[in-house]
Amino acid sequence: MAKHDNKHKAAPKQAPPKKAPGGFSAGGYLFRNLAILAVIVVIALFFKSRNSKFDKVQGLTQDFYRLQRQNPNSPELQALYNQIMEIQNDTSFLTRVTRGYHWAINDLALGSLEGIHELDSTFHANGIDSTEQAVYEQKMAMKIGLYPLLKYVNANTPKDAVILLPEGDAKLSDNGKWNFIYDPEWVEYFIYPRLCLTIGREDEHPDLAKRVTHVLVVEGKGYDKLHYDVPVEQRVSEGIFPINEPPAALKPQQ
Amino acid sequence: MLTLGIILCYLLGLTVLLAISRKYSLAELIGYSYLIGMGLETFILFLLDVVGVHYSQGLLIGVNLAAILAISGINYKGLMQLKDEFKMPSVSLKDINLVAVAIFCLAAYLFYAISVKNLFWPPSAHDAIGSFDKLGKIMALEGKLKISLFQYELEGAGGLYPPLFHGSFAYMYIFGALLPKISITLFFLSLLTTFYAILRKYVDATAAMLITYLMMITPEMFSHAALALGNMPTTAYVSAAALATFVWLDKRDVKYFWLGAVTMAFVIWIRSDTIVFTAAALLIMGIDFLRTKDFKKLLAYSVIAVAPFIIWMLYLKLSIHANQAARFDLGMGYNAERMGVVSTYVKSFLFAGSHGRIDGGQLYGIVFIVFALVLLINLALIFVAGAKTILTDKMYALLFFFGSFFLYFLVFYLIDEKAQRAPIASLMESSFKRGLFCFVPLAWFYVATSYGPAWLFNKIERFRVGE
Repeated sequence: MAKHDNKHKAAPKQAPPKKAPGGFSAGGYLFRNLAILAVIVVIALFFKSRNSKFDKVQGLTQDFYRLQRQNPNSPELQALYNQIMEIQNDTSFLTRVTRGYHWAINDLALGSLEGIHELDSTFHANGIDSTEQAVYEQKMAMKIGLYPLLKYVNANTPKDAVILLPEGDAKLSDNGKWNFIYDPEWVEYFIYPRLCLTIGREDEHPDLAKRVTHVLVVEGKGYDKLHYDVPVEQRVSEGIFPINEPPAALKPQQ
Repeated sequence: MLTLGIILCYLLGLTVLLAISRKYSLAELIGYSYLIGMGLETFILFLLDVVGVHYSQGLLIGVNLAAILAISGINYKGLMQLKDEFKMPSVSLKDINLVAVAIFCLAAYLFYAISVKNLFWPPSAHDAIGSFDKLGKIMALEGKLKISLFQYELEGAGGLYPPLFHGSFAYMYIFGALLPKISITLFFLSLLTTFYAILRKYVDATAAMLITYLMMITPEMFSHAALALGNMPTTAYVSAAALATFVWLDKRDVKYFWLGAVTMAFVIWIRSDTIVFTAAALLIMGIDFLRTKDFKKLLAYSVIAVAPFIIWMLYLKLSIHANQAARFDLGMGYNAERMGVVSTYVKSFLFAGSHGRIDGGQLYGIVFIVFALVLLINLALIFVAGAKTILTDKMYALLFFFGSFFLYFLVFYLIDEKAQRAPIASLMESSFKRGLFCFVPLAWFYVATSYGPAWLFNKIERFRVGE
């Protein structure tokens, strides 16, 4: 059966272009193409102009806080505030459905392209781009704030270590500085082949709970899990400690 | 070596494409070659794991060459004819669509910009680090799919997903990549090229390029072209598979039947929850069967499209021994509160509303609004073109869209918050939001090709060529 035609009437088909009377006119062809293009460009520019004001918000906000610090009674403050609010309050339908495109094109694509070229130049000027690995390490440290700490963990534990991570309480999970230090699936990416589990969630990894070799201390928490006492004056805010035996020297990290 | 790995992947896909048919557009060759090639590469990784052979560059090069030679050998006659059929295209001014070229240049520059961003930064999204990139990296290190982390339940949520996405990362790592994100760029390229290629079956280059550009810059989806997450690659497969299936049903060109079936198989090989699209595909193929009574085609499509799901479920059960706890509350019945939450989010996503942390306009722009508008315009055109013409126009595309959307909605309506360890609002704001990507190309396809817009694009094209 396979090759019978679809019986129903389809959408209007595009007829192949016929030769214009009097032959093909390159000028006319160019003009018509440019006319269509011009319409598209005008529409694009219209939306760009509507949304370009959002680019100013960040600068205006910075100006507002700077001025507020310098002179909280400055009459310019109210004018700046009104300007920011006017932009923020533009919630018209057209703005709502088009500002995402403005962000995608101007900030996400073109904006980041500029930033990346600048970073490349900085890496080159500082000699960071000598090896691919060095560039990777630098970028990782820029993206993941905890990367240096996790590298420190790797440098100070054997490959078969099982590490107890801090509990994901509000102090850690609400502070972006600590990324996802309390999430064993996330930390595992950085410390593999070492293994890890989180304080308070030992029951999720019973095999590992029996094999813990190290404790990662963060914000001074985790010392109570060590099978020995660390004098208060020797306690550091962040560090990695063997669980059973104290290390030869308790060195502050970083 | 990475370049060699990518070339082998493309060649493997290309060989399969040419075994199906000899006639493709350049865009089809670029897009489908990678999607099929990478799908097969990850299936090879899966098979090697099953038979207990560890991955290595040499082994993969050998297996790839053997597969390419074997398929080419079987298709020897076809390839010889290909050589005879090749003609250099002639180009004159009137063959150059300046509008399409201009839009293409803009799209290409934005593609370049987002790709630079993608390839510059290492993966940093939580799910990439906690799951997908970790799985890919360790698969390459340990040389197997069932990595040691499964033993300690440290594999992350993606560990239970079929291996296409993280397998593509593993493939890049095996061939020496420091970062696997070139795979993301190639998936994005495939999404754009397959979408454009299929649109060209229905509309002129101006319309196809414009709609492809609009699809490309859908804000939230565009941002994922620079993230190591699986939602955009999944969209590439769903789009390529669904659109090829529509072409088969519309135009009865048998190569699109096979393209649709094979890519639909990979839809379920990249994520299990994409079963909603497989079900929608089987629905439209089933309806077609009622008209054509071609049981062989229905059977072939169904077996190919569903087999990876069954294979993966068996692997999870027999090899991973995964604890597949029920994730849905099927006994929920009608729950007004749940329905209210899910519906409000859906309205916000689709029609530029705001709810919770969601700003639908910022995320999806105009796509679903234009889709709804075009649907209404087409319905109004019943009075001009007749009910039969309008109601049968792109019927399969609409059935697929609404069928899969209904199931997708149902998945989230029935989800068990306790089993997922997340409140429904959070699931809607993360999982549902990203899953909507798959509907973006489907919506734009309808917008570009249905009766009303096709009439308008036809008028514009006639003006452009001076007819």
